[in-house]
Amino acid sequence: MTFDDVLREHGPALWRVIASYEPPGAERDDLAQDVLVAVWQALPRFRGESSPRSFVLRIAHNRGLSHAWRRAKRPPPGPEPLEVADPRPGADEQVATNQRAERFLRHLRTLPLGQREVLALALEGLPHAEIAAIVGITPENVAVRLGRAREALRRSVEREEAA
Amino acid sequence: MTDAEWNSWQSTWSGATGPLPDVRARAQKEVRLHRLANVAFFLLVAIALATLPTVFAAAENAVHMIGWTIIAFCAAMSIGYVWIQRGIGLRSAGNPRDALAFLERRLRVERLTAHLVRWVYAGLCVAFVFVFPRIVAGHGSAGLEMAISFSWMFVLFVVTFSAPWWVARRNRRYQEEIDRWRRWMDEQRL
Repeated sequence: MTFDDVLREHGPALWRVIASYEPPGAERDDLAQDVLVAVWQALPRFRGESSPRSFVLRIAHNRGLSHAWRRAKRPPPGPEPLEVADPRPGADEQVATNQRAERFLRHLRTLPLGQREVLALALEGLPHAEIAAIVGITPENVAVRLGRAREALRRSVEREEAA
Repeated sequence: MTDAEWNSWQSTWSGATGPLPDVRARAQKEVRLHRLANVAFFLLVAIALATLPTVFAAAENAVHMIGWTIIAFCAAMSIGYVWIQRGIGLRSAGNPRDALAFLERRLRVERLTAHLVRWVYAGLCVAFVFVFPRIVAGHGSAGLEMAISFSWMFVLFVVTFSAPWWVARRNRRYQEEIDRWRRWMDEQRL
């Protein structure tokens, strides 16, 4: 498995996980660089003990958490910037999809990290056992966290719609 | 929550495919820095050892003692460095608690390295005290040479012998930071 294979097959999933930690902007770009460097460095040590998807998502989450630790020590950021429309031809539909996703991600980012990482992996379609292996908790704990995360996310979406 | 709601979220989620930055230049730079850091220590040792042929070519026995001192110093530092570093590595995909444990292992490595520096340099200073007067014996300005050299050696001794103290002082701050992170992880239910 080469770095190009990883980018081609898992690039969008990596981007979504990164976006669950940071709003659009320089911080997200920095985190993306960190994650990709970590994947690039870790690839030679990949021995097929888990699926390539689990492997790269695990790295992305660990980097995301380290990033969040550093972030927690700094003053809270200002309001989240809006996505700028992509000027490339034919990109309108993707931009609209990304803007919908950004609204969704904004709600996701309000959850505690422990719930957020589990929910992001569940949205990627990973089974509980695989999420448990990535996060380092039991599958039962995954189910509990996931239930709480879904409930918290639903309440956040409802609050915005009611406002 | 309903299945329809979950499916709608999942479809919104998986539809997003933002661009990722090109990482190769940065990655290559990181790898170069990592290799440089690993090589730097042993390069310094190699440079010190490279002086040995010149030292042992000298006729005086006192100069040969410098060569043996260099060998002993390099061996002690290298063995200590390798022994201290073993087993501290972070698995590439460890969980956040592993990362925190890794940071604590790093602090332990710094503490042990400070002790290594204290005792190896103390040995070097003792050897210097024995060897240097023999080398300068017979020089016209032996007294002045010894005064200057011993002054510098004393400064080196004070700095290196107090290393465990100032490393511990600095690490207390890092340990407090690690404790704060652990509390934050508990708050975030990680």
